[in-house]
Amino acid sequence: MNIELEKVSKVYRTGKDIEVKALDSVDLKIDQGDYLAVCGVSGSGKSTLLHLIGCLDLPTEGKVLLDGKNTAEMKDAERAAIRNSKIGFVFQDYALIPYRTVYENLIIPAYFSNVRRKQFGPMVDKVLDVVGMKDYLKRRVDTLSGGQKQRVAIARALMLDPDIILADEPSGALDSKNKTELIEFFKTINESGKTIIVVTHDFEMAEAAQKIITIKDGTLVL
Amino acid sequence: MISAYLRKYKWLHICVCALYALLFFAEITVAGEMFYNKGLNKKSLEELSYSFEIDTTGRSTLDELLSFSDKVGDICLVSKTDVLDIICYPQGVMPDRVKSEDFSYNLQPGQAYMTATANIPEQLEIDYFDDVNKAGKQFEYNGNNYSLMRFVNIENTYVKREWSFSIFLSYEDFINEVRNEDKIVISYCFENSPDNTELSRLKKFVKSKSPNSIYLEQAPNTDELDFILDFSNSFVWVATFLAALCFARLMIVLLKNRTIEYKIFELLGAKKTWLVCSKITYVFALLSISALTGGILYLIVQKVTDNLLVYTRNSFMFWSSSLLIYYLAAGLAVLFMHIIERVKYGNEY
Repeated sequence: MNIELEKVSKVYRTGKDIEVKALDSVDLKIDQGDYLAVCGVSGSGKSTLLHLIGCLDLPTEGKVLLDGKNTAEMKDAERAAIRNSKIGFVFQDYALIPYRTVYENLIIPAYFSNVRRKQFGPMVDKVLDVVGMKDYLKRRVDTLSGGQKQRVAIARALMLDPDIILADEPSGALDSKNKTELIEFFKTINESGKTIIVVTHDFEMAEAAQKIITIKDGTLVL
Repeated sequence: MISAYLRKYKWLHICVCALYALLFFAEITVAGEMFYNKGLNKKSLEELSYSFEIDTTGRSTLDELLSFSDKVGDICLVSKTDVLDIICYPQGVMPDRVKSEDFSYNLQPGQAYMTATANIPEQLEIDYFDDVNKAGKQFEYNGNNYSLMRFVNIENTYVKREWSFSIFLSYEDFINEVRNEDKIVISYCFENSPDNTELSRLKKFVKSKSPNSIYLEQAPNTDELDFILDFSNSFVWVATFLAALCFARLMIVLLKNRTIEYKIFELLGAKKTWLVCSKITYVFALLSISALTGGILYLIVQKVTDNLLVYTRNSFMFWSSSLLIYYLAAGLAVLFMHIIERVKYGNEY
């Protein structure tokens, strides 16, 4: 899936007459199979960029094109389908349901897709094998370590074999050993042809990408 | 899920238990302990009444029904209308049962009670005889007969009700008054709880004399210092209120958890329509379950605890049972939610 941003701006209204420009006329093109790191200080607009690409939000101005289709012109169901099967999300806080098992967390994307329930098991097996967590199938997420949770989050992101992996500060809560492991995971995933976009302010994490872009005050600094 | 809930909110549970303990001691202090050391008639703790609804078939049948004297302390006949109970103890009342400070007449077995007595809640200002007239019963005031004597509360000696006028009549007057009624209640009070054989014999006896009779209930006699029981009843509602608060807390926890889930669902591809429908269904399910468990809790407290208070006759038992009821309701709610979640996800792996 090709991603293209044309003059994309995003303005948040935080109060009456108070506007915050998170992104200002950003142009960006990401091809299928790219491994991109988006760097910048807190509040620079990195996460906003990720949210726009991930169809979690819409731009105030400009266009976000996914395979040439403008996300703003898509119906909600279409955007939901893209989030579900074309994009895998990995977050710093893992975005897992803590009081549910690994299995129950992993099947959520499949639950919202057209995948038959009978296929859930083999799919879960496959992705857990990739992240080396096969023995943790029935464990509750809140009993896992930070590194294990992040691996489960990656496994969930891979469940429906998406084209793109969007990761927002994925190493933020990890120690150096787990961070190195995560970088290796992303490299392997990228080698399989998937696009990886990592928002990070971690130098090591960014260095692993093929391309690094920096955002400052909502504008792109290449 | 339940153990996690108990673990996560252990301080809440400790506080609930502490509050119950506090109420228990407060109740002991304020009510002076419900049942002990207050001059209660402990002997009557063993007394039990068994009530039957029978056809009004005339004196001869009633005479036969009164002939069941095996271990029976006294027999009470009651004719019930909406606001009025006409009561008769043809063979007198067991002396122990009416010896409260408010009631100085100790009736002996065989002695008929010839005067009328109204049982009216103190807070209601009622012209006794006017209201008796309104109930469609005309009782003539003629000196010794039917004169208003004093309040006396003999709850639970027959089918219980919140309050009523109770007119105590002699056997002859009773028969005259109930001549046009379809049904009356006959209540056999045993000094000591009868065993199953005796009870079965009583049931057969009543059935043989009055074939259309219906067994109503058994109830302990609480004619001793009932005001203490009434006072203690108010604590039941404190317990219910407390349970309701804790129950609401549990619901908030479930809703908060669900809010996190919805954010993740949206991220992972749930459509807006699905999310809205699911939220509505979830809140609806939660409200239904709350209403259901709330209803169960209410019924337990209203119907069972009230009697529990009478049956347990022990403050500690009463309060620990109330706490158990709270956890039962909370447990039911969690169980329902758990079942709903399981069905939703279908853990068929």
